[in-house]
Amino acid sequence: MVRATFAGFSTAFSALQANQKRLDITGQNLANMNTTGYTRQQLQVSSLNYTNPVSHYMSTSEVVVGFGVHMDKVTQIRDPYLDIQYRDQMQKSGYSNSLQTSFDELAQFLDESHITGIRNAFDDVRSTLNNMTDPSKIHDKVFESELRTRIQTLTNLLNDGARQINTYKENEYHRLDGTGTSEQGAIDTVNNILQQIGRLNRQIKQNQIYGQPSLELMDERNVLLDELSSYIPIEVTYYKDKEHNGLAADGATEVLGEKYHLDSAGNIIMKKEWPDDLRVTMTYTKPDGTSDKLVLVEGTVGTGDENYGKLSIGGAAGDDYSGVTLTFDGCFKNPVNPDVYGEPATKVSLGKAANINYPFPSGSGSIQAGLDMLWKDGKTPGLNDVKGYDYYMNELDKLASTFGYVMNVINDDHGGGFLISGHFPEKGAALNIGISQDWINGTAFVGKDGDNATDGVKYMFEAMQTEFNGSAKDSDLFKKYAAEFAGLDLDGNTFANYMNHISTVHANDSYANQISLKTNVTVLNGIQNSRDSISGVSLDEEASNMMMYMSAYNAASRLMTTLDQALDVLINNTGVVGR
Amino acid sequence: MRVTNASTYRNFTSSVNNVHLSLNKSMNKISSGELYEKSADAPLAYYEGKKIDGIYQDTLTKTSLIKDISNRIYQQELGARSIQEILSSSGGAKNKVQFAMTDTTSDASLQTVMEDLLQKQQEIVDSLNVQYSDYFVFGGNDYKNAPFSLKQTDDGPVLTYTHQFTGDTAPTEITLSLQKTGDTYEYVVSVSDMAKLQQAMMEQGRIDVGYGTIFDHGTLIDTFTGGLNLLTGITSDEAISRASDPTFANDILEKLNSSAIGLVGKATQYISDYLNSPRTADDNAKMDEKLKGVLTEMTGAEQTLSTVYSDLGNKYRLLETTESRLNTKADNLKKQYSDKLGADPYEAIMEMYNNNYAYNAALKVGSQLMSSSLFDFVR
Repeated sequence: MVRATFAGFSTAFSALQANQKRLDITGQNLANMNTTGYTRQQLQVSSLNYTNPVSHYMSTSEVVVGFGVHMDKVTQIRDPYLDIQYRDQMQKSGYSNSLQTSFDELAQFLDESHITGIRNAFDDVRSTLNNMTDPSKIHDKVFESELRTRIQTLTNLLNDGARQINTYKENEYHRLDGTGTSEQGAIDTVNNILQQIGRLNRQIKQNQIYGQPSLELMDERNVLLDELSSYIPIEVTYYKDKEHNGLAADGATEVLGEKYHLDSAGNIIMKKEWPDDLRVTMTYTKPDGTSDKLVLVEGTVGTGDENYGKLSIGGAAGDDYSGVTLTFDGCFKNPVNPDVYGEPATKVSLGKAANINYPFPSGSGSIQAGLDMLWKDGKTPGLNDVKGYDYYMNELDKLASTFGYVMNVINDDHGGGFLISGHFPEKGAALNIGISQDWINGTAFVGKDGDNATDGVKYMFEAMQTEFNGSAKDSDLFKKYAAEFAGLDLDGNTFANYMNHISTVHANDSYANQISLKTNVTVLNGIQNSRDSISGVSLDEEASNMMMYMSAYNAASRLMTTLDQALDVLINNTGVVGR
Repeated sequence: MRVTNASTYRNFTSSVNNVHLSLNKSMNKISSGELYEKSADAPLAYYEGKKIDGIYQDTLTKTSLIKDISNRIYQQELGARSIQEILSSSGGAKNKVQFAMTDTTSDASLQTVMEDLLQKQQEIVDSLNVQYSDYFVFGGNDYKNAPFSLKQTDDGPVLTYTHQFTGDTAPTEITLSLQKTGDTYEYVVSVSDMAKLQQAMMEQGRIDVGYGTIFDHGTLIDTFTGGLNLLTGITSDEAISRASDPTFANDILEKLNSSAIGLVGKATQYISDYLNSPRTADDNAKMDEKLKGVLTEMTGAEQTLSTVYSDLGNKYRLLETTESRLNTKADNLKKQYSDKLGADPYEAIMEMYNNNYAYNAALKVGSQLMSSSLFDFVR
């Protein structure tokens, strides 16, 4: 085999080019060191030989030397397994984080660590009643006025609490639908992300078909997928489209021509290069309790917006958000299966009305957290049950209603009429409870009928200290009002302690969720660190690479000088003996 | 494992943030004296703390209530003593009766004694109408009407008991006329009025001041002493238990007849009868005999009053003991609350210094992180 005269120059030139490119990529990596979602790039090269390896080894010459280096392509360094882990963890963190936002809002009135709240108001009422059991005070209008003020403070606090819960519910809903906020709601955000992923799928594939790796677009898509996973439970898969998946339309018969270039006899010549498509599926729970998946983004199928689905929300009725329904319009189904290819996916509606209390697997993103707070009232058995807004509203209603009922029954029985209004029925009691108009007008008053003027207030004072547990107790109050009060149940608490109980239930849930959030974020950071260790830019590494590539570049330049000197010797100093 | 700048800075930021948060928390702990910032930091401590706080507030209410009640009981005790003194002091009714029996022969002197006894009856009534903070301490449920008034008529003294019963819109007046019955004088009360009297004597003012349990009202301390109860020595509990006893009304009348006001009234009437009617030689001896009977009964009336005020003294002492117990309880509750939710200042200060050092160290690490990289050594 004869070597070309200037072959060495080509080798040196390719080395110069390759190292120049590597330096460019180092620059690109350094420039994007802090760009969100950036995946470090590297130049994939191979040793250049104009004969293919088969013919090379068939050569009889044993001293064949290559002709330099070939720049194959610029690639990203990424571990798909870590992406899956990261997105799984994003779902959990998104769920805990969103739940914590709701708990923190509720804490504004339920956490009475630093405020004189509902529990204190009950204590104040009890204290005034205790004072009024003193016969010298029962007739004193000042004490009745104080009692009225204190009960009014209590009812105002209950009203405020109920109003705040309604506001939080509304906020929660608007965090989903985006109404009334300067930012997009979760639903719009998810739809935007799906749309962007759908469009990126087309753009990336088109570029890749034309030989553009579209690495930055892939980074952009990965960032969107990461963000999407914080909202809903997704799975991401890569696949070849139906023309290149190696299967016939029946989805089973192998078709070699789709994967390989074939000769006229049908023999494989080489593998076809064809970019992957990306599919995004969402996991949800069907009414029968089994899991299913809905395709939200399907590669590049169809045209226009046919390759991605859409999410919508509805079902809110006034202050009642328990009927909120999410509807997912899936896109084309999996084209791997020819039977269903092209057929639009069925709509999936998730809502409490359809008895689907767990539309997603547990801890699946912030939308699930928002829905849990809106849907769940803490009555569903199970560890995963969430005490949502309705739980706290129901508890406040029960407390307000029981208090109002007990006070009114006792006072009316002692000739004073109804002191408290708005406690019937239980639903809405916390929002509507207040001082009765009769008490304000003076036609109702603290009842003094009975053997002694203080009998009524004494029963009311006793009621303030009674632990209602749904059954009669051996006490004077229950001896007198056995029929009226036997069914009252505050889980064995007094009024004040029941409020304390409600606050502590919230505190416990918030505490547990804080730990869960902390754990999830720590794990997420760990996975992010692992991902960074693979895909992130290391300043030291880039610096050492830069030195290495520069040295290689210098060496290639030096090779060119040496070759030039060799040619000089050959051309100018060869064959002129004695000249 | 490759160390990348993004993760290094992210972890550094997270660490500095955590240390700063801890520093802030420990500073808040010192400035507020509270161990926790919010309920979710320690739900159980919050729960127990709030329960302790509720009991503490209740204890404070009772402690403040007990002072008023003690004073009122003390006023009742003073009232009972004052009536006893009207009977038994050196210038008291007993001495006057004794004087009328033994040392007085002239009508003018007897007239003076009689007028003095009339005055004593009024003094007893005044003692029964004593007030504490505009509240008639012997008025039971009726806080605005003076319970007793006395009027002298030709037939004898008429004691009127005025009482507004609970649920009534106007007061009821019950007339107790001390009328001559044979050789003696006795109170005459109509049947309907007697029923009202019984009802008034049954009134109780039981209050939860930390003694007994509110779940059984009968165990609470009764702060009432009705004027009729005081005079007769019949407690409200006895009145309640004997409400359906047919002999009870008669017993009440008997005890009223032998009460301080009844006996002074009788003595007055005996002297008045002696002075105002034609007399024979043995009339003086007869009057002396009657007055002797009154004098004997007065000792019984003294004992009745003594029993009442010693009972009131016991109640007062009980209230003092209860107050002392409530104060101890309040102190214990404060300690319990502090143990649950209060920050130990020494521990908190040490924690703050530790966190401060950690924060400064973290910032120092940050400056090291930012300055070093291989690029600093590449030429």
